[in-house]
Amino acid sequence: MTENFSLETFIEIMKNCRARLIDDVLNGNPELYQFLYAPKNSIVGQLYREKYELRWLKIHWEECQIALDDSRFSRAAKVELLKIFLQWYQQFVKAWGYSSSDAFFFDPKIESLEKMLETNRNLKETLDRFQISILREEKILNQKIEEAVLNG
Amino acid sequence: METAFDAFRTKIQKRSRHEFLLDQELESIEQIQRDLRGEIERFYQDELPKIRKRLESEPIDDEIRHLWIKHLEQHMSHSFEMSQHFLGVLTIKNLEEIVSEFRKRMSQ
Repeated sequence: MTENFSLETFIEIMKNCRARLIDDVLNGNPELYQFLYAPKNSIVGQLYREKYELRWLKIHWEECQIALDDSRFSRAAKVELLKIFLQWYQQFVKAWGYSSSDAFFFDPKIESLEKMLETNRNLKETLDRFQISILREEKILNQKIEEAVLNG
Repeated sequence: METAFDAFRTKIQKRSRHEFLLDQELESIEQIQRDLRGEIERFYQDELPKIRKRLESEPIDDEIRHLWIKHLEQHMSHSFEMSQHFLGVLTIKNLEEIVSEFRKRMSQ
């Protein structure tokens, strides 16, 4: 039942994240509207779009983390949930039009993450890698936005 | 004389805990499927028109608005597809468990 529990959890996560996406549009999420209000073909606008998409990815990850922090989940269930997240992430990168070279993060490292999960290495280390990758990408995007705004 | 309720109670008592859990699991999958169908219907019939209306009322460039709505539909449709995919995996896993339980019973 381990995998079933993880699958059901991730299906619920996707449902919550879809609701957030709709809510963001209807209730004026600032990051999304910064992209929508930007002039056509603007670099800043494009960066805000990326930032918003990163947010969409991040909320999936944050919801996973709630389950991963839950002590009622067995270690096996947590590993399964991470594998399902990775599967979803790979599809996400393709569907949102990012190639592996410009994918906003850790795509080249995805294989090593999967191997880490397969070989039962430190789960915390894998989780930290995910977390740091998201933080790093957020920081880079914010820097790029600042530079683009400064350069007009 | 055994009443229908007695027969039902005996039947329930004979069932293994595993069978009971499988039943619960199948019921839960059916509920998730129903919820997902409802969500898809709600999105296309109700929420997407609201989103269009909201974005048309905003000072957004026509091309950006048009592209974003297209993009949003793609994201949602992709997310629905992934949910359906994972639900399919879940259903197969459960059916496999039922078949395996059935075989176990047959061999006993």
